[in-house]
Amino acid sequence: MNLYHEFRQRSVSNGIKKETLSIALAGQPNMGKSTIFNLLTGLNQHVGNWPGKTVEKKEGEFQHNDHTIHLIDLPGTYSLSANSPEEIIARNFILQEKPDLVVAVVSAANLERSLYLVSELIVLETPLMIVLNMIDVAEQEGFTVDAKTLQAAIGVPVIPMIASRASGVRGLLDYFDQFIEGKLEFFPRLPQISADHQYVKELIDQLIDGFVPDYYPKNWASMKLLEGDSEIYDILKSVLPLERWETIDDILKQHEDAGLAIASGRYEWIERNVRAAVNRPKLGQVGLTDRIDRFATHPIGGLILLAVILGLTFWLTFSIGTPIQEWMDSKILVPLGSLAQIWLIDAPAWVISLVVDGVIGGVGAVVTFLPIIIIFFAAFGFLEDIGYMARAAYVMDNFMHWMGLHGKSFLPLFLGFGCNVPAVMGTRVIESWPARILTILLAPFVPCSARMAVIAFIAPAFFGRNAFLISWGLILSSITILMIVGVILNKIFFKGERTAFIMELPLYHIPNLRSAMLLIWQRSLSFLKHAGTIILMMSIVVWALSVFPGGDLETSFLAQIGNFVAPVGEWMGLDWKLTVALITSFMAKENAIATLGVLYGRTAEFGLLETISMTYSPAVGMAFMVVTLMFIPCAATVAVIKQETGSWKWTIVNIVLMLVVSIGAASGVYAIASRLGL
Amino acid sequence: MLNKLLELIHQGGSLTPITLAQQLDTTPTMVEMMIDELTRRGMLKVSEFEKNCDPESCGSCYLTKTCHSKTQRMWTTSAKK
Repeated sequence: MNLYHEFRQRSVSNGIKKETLSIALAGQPNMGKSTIFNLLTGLNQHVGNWPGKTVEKKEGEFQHNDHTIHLIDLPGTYSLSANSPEEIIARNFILQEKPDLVVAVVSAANLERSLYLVSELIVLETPLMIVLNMIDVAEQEGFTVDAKTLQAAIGVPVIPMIASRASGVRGLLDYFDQFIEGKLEFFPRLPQISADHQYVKELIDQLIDGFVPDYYPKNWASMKLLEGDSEIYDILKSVLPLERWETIDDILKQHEDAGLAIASGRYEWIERNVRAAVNRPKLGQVGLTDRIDRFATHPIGGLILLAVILGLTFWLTFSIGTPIQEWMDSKILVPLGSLAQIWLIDAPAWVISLVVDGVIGGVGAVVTFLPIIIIFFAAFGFLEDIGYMARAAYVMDNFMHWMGLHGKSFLPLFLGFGCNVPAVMGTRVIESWPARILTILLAPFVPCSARMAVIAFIAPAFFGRNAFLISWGLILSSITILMIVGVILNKIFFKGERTAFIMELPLYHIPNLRSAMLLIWQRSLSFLKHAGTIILMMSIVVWALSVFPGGDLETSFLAQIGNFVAPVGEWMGLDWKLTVALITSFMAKENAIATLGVLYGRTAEFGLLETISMTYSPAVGMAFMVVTLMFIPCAATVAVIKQETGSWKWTIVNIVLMLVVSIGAASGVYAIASRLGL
Repeated sequence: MLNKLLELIHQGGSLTPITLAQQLDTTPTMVEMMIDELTRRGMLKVSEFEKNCDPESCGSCYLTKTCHSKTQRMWTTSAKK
């Protein structure tokens, strides 16, 4: 008899003459095997360990008609390979102890995975029954499994059951009766090995004939040998004459792909049975995911969707966040500054200046970001929760591939929209060092939430109703520049070929509102803490530099620093104040606004936005936003780049690269905008 | 079936279990099982991309404590074919 014929010889159970019947329950973990064991044995069970192992052994007995049924709950295993102690225990029990019957418990809700073990059990000589458990869960998930069709397809009895509700136990016991009485017929249809490997198996069969220990079926042993099963390999090596073993070993080395052919046969067998028995109308979650993904992961459609989603995020920001931010600025911060001046009327002038200009002007301006940044947190949290972010990364990855970039690069890069620090950290997943360096160099080009918040703060000052379109355009331009820089760097550092890249995409699902709100709350608190520490400290430093040594801003240390770097700022149309604001953003991107808050202070009439919109032209505003988007990364990101590259050289390369690109782009934008009369 | 999957993978490019399932006319679960099989056999390399921060290394980022802890699996071809 050949194990890999389509049909095994039809067999009929001979009936059980003895009084005690031994039945083994096999199955993968979490298929409900233990529930069935408990249902059948009740309290009459014994728990111990398998001999010489720390794996739990459960046995029990129950009376059924005139028979005592001894039930053994085998350890949960995914296959019968020798990969784990559980798998070795399960297969050795079936092969060596030879129970009268094996009952495989499979889940209707996860039939493909469950059937893998069955594809291995069915080739053993012990009679097999299948309990098709969790049919209710499958129905809840939108599909059904026809037990009768599955029985016809596999050729062994299939008993539907809902073990959690004790439904189907009677049916199982009826099948036990038929088995005991010898009325049950088995027509097992077995997995096939491809014809081009059949002769190899037959050759091995001949060579091991007469040497296989009695408890191992010869066909099974030769199959496991071809699969590279370490236990069977060692056993046969120890019992076969050396010369014969060397012949076998040579054959195995020449046909390493035979194992793949055997596994392939199992998957084809599973596929055939699932296709026959599962009725899956395309209405479920997978169907929905499939339909959405046809557009969401399309190379062009996916990019358009991504651009629209980014645009919607900004639209929401300007429709909801900006009005609240402006209200907080004019109705809270401006009056608060005036009140502070009244409260501190008897205090020294420097204290009033510190509180009003340094703390309220600096930190206060950043705190008004909160409504804007909450929308970013909510939008990105929502996209993550529904499962879209992985699609966005996939779509961008597809796009990056067109330009020769490495496949794994974009997933960490995508994290950069939240914060560049985890984006740099995330490059650890890239094994190739050149590809990793390239990704690290690109990560700070991704506009992080802090930089987007700065843009969202400034844009309305210069562009009013068009702020949304300008910001959206700037973000898309920033991503485009990232790609162009990536392509150029890739040509220099990493000439990678188009390697395959498979990415797991989660199913779309409705986000949990409570979790989303909790995340927004936690992140808002973190942001306020950030404002109350780093931003506060920097605001005080900027304030101190702006009032010392003589109390006059134009002759202050800050002005001296600003005037020193002003020539570079002039290329972009920035005066020394904007240039200094840009430099302070190195500590944290929000500091750019805090510094402007300190430098421009607050008047009774105007908030910060009105003041800067009256001071600078839209061309200057545009250039400032462009340079802010791509300016050198913040100190936290620089520290992580140094840590991850282990090199100052690459850290400095990154800083210089970003300086050149940001100043170059902002200068170009300023020149064009000025010529257009903005 | 595994050979067909390998052929598709070796053509290169960005793939997902869903797109591969469409090309093989099977279910994404089947593709995931076969990908796991190829990974066990050393024909694919799996990377688990942790989307959460490492508190020690990411300590300088103020969002560290609120990062999601989700794992994204990715596979690439390995030298073994």
